[in-house]
Amino acid sequence: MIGFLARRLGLLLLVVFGVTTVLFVLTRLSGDPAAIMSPPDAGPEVLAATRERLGLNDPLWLQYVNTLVSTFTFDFGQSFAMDTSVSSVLWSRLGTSLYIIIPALVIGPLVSMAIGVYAALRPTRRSGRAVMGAAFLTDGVPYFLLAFILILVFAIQLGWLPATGNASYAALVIPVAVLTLQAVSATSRLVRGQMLDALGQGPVQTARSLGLSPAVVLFRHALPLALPPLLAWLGIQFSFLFSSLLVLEPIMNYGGIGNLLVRSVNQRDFPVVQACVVVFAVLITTVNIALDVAVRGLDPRLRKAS
Amino acid sequence: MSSSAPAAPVARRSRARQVAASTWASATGRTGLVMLAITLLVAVFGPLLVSTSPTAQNLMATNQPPSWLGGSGGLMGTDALGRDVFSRAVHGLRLSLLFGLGVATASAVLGLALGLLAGYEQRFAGPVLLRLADIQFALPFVVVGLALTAVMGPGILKLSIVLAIWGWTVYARTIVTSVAQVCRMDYITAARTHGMGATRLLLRHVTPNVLGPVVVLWTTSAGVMILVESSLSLLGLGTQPPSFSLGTMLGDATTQLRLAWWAVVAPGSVLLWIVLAFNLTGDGLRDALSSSGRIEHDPELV
Repeated sequence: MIGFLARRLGLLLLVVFGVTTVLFVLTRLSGDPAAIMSPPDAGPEVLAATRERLGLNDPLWLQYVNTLVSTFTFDFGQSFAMDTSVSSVLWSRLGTSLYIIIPALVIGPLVSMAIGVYAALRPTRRSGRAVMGAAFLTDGVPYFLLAFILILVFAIQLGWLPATGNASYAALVIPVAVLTLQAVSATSRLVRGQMLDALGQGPVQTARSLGLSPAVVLFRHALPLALPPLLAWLGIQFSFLFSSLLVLEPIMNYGGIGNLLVRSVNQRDFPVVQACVVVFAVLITTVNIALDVAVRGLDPRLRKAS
Repeated sequence: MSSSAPAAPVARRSRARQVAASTWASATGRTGLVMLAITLLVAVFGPLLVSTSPTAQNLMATNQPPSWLGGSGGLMGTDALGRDVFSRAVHGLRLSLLFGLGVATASAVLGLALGLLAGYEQRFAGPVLLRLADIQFALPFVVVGLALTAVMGPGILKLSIVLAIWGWTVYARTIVTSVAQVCRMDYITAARTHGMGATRLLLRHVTPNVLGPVVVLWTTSAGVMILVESSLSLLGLGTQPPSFSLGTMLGDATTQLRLAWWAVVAPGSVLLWIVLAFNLTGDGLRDALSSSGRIEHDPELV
């Protein structure tokens, strides 16, 4: 288990290293890095100052080492567009995003489990098929369209919720609903599939032939068989969630980290872009490592194999 | 070799025909294929049949509701610049579809090649490629697209090239285990003993074994890529004017949501249609390819 954890943490370091390298290569490939690292309207003397400040006159290997050091110490310098350090604005925006990420992460999987199990227990009945049909249709709806529809209905037509912003708790409802619906439509179908597979397996058949109660068969025997692949899927879902955040926050004018990244790309505020990309990579990898550990804890076959 | 060489293509074709027939036989697969065919037909021939220009502005008739709502804006209304939304959707579909199919195909070919390599060469190239895939997994497509745009500026061609390269991981990860298993089979050893080269061996004897999952992934990833392009274009960072895709239309219409909801819902519904078409086809293909031990009857637990 310790060797496994060490390997996973090694992967985290590798990810930060890899992402930094990709960004470094891209900035060097695209011509003059000083132009990228300077405000968009910079004149020649500003560019020269940038070159001096960032050490762009140093040999390439030294620049690379310096970039790595600043990434690993999370020191991304000053933002061009905002008069603050990158890290302070980054953490406050991430905090704002957590208000919609955390509810979506809690509600989504719970509702998906309930719906998926409900449908798996009724594969041939109309109710089970209807639920899955609805999930399939919702799964096809792009999340931004879902956001537009919810805004149109609940903010513009009915006037129950604010259409944009993050000023009140009511403003959180639509973004959380979009992220949750998106997760539920995909995950509940997977839960159903995994449960159907589990219900056909030997241990479950044995438990049933022993005459155990349906609840015991379901929760003690079938669910543990179905759970490990679902946890792995949650990791992928977490990465989807960040993709959606990047579009959802700007269209809803929500002041989170997704909005920050998109605005920084538009303003060519490169230090913020770099910091956001690294933070996304670290968050997604960390969550996936945690889920990997959980899967190992749940599945005795994997534990023995290590 | 002389006796097995002519037999192999025949067997392969019949398996493909069997999968195609079984996909067509299922309601899911057939609906998906029909929807895909309609989409392709509209993308190819639609722009020739729609007489209204997709770019002609009419500032006297901005944000006009669709005719079936009693408005004067034609089939799907007009947008904030008075352009015909129906005509724009039919024309914009081309770029969206081209992007999705192009990027998905390129990354499927790359992913197949690298997956074969990773499964075959397990000493050095394999582990390195899989670690690389692990690293790439940390950055979703939209983030990659945004980072690229920040460095190189927006552009649909650059975006498609980078996403095509970035997309290999899902294919390679999926097939690498099967490739490694097949490479241990006796007939591979036999072929190698007969002096068959690695490239020919992989293409001729290993690829047919892993082509199924690659095709299934290709269908879903085409839909995903179309959505990635739409997301970035919606943010104004993908397709740049004068070109436009369904995503560009969404981006143009976002600010007008209160005044002209049809300008958002029309391209959005077309995207929904495309994604459903690809998802249904993918599901049908997956069912046709796999023979799982999944129960078909009611488990009678409730």
